[in-house]
Amino acid sequence: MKPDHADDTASMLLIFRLEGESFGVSVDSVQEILDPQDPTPVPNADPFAYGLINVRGVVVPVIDVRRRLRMAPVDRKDTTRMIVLEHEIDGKMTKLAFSADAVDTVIEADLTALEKVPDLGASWPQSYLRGAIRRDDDLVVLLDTQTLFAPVMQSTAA
Amino acid sequence: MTIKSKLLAAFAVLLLLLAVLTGIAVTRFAQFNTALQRIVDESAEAALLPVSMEAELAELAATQLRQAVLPGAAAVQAAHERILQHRATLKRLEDKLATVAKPSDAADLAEFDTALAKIVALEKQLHENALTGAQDRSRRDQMRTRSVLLLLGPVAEAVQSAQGALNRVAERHRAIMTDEKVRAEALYRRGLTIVLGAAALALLIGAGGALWISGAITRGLRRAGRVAQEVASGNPNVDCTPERRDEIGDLLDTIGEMNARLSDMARAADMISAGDLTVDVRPRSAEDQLGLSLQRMVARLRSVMTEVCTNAASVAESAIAVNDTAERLQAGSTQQASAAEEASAAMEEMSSNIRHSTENAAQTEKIATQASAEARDSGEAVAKAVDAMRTIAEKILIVQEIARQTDLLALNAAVEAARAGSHGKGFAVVASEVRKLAERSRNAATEIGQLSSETLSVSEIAGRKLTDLLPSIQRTSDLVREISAATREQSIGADQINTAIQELDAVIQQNASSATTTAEVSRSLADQSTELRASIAHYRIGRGDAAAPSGSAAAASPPSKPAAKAAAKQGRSTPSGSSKPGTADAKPASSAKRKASPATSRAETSEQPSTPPGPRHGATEKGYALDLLSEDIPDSEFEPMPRAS
Repeated sequence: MKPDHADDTASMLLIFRLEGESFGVSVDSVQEILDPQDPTPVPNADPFAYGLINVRGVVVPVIDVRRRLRMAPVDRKDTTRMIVLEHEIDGKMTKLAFSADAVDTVIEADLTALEKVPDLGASWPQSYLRGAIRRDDDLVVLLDTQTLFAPVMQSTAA
Repeated sequence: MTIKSKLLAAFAVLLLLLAVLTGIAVTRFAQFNTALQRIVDESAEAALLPVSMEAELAELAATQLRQAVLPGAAAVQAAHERILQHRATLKRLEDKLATVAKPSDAADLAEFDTALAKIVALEKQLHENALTGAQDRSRRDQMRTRSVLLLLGPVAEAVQSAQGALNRVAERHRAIMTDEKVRAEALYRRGLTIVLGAAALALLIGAGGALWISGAITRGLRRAGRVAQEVASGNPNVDCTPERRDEIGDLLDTIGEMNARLSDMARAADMISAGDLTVDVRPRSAEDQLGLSLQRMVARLRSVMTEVCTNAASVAESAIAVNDTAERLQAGSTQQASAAEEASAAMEEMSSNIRHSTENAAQTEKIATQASAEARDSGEAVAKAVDAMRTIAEKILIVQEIARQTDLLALNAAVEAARAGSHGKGFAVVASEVRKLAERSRNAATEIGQLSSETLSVSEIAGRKLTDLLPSIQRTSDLVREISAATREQSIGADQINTAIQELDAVIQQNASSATTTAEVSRSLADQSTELRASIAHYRIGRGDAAAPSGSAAAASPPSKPAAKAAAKQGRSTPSGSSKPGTADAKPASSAKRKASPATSRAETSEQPSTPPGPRHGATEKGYALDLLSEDIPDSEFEPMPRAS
């Protein structure tokens, strides 16, 4: 953390893990990190948004990110957390929640150093990824919250 | 004169006297009875009848008066009939009186008859007067007066005359009765005197006869008793000559005969006691118990003496064998005693060892009990430790949870700080530090949790092992207790064994002394049996031929005579018929001699009964007359003799 370093290019990222890989989202959209909760299932819901949870009196839909990223579902672990995001959908600020296998830390990253994920040989769905950032010996994949949580994208993808 | 005839004579005299006495008494009684009957039948009757007649006469007079006075014909008639009755009664009484009357009464009776006849005559007139008075009232008083005049005059006179006559008769008969009574008394006295005299005479004769006869019997019997006593006390020379020829004389003769026979038996017994068993006792009859017994006794004595001689020899032999055995027993007892002492010492040592073991076992028991208790305490302590560990593990989970939540809080803080931009930078640092601390806390808690769970499992294993161990320790403690008890019992047992061995030792000592005594006794028994045989030699058994015991007399004869010596040996060896340690050396020689001169030895022994001092002298020498010095028999004379008898 460098206290005196702040501009557009420099952004704070929340680093979390899925399937052992590091992923990052902008801290600006992150509302809160919670202990995992059991979502209340919504009848006949889309598997993408399969249930609801109560976060301090506000009903928040739970998004299955792993499904979107074509990952196999896993059981809850000690390190499992829920990340609550505030996201603008159709010009309206909407709260969303999703499960991460673990939440590492908050880092300051230079977005200029963002590298595009190579097209070939990657199993990632390109549209959800903004790129990858090197962090120490690791690579952090920066997720595009706009596409990742967009129902449209989901429907187009479907 | 025999006692029987004396008794008969005395009793005959007495019986005669009794007959005479009875005759006199009967005669006297008859006389007395007759007198008494006469008094009662005649005199008393004659005295009483006039009295009755007087009464009847008075009645008659009274009725006449009533007849004269009473009014009415019926009453007069009744009175008249009564008068007639009285008169009839008087007549009857007078007739009766006439039967018992004496001639001297005749005058008086005639006077009475006259008076009565006068009364009867007057009565007729009186009756007529009364009847007239009754029928004719006007003349009643006249008739009454007339009758009274008659009654007071002639009737009263007649009555008085009759009464006087009757009184005289009664008086006379009373006097007669008194006379007869005096006569009867005199008769009674005379009879009594005669009877008493005869009885006294009979008493005198009887007493005299009794004294005379009993005196004779007593004297005779006393003499017979004295003689019998003498015979009973065994005096054969008592004088049995009878003084008189009667039953007692016969008894004395019989006693004399008995005494003579007893004397015969006594002589025979005397001979037996003198040692002559050859005496011939002949019983006088089949019932002669004494004679038969004596005969049997002699026969039995002969066989017994022979047997005794034989047995005495075997007793001597046995006594020596007993002596040997007793000596061996003594030696054995001594060995036993030493063995028992050794055993006692060993037992004592063992006993002390066992006592030591007992003490150790008791101590071990105490320790084992303590160990058991401590093991139980340890088990409880471990169980407590396990509980504590479990609690720690639970608490550590809380710490871990707190660390996790702290981490989450710090992360959220970091997110907030990041969103705050440059303003939140400082806060981000703090949040980062807090996260690190939470991380460290969580790690430490995890380690503690691991350690505590490991400790828990280890402690549980330890507790289980201790629990498993506990029964073993308990069992060990129990076993040690049992061992301790067993050892104590062993100790007591060892003590008892020790006591028993000591008692055994005492018994063995006693046995040893008993064996010694037995040896001595058997030795003296052997000596005594020899003496016994010598004593038996006193008896002559056989009928002239050489009896076995008489052979021992040869010991008294000069030892230089080999024949006599041989005879002596033969005499000794024949009853026993077995070898003796004492005679073993002399045996071949004696056998040789016996073989060489049997005739001589017989001749020698046949002389022996004539020399009684011989056996006595032989008997005083104990053991056997082995004369090895005086004469040696050359070896060439020895013959190998099979021990054939």
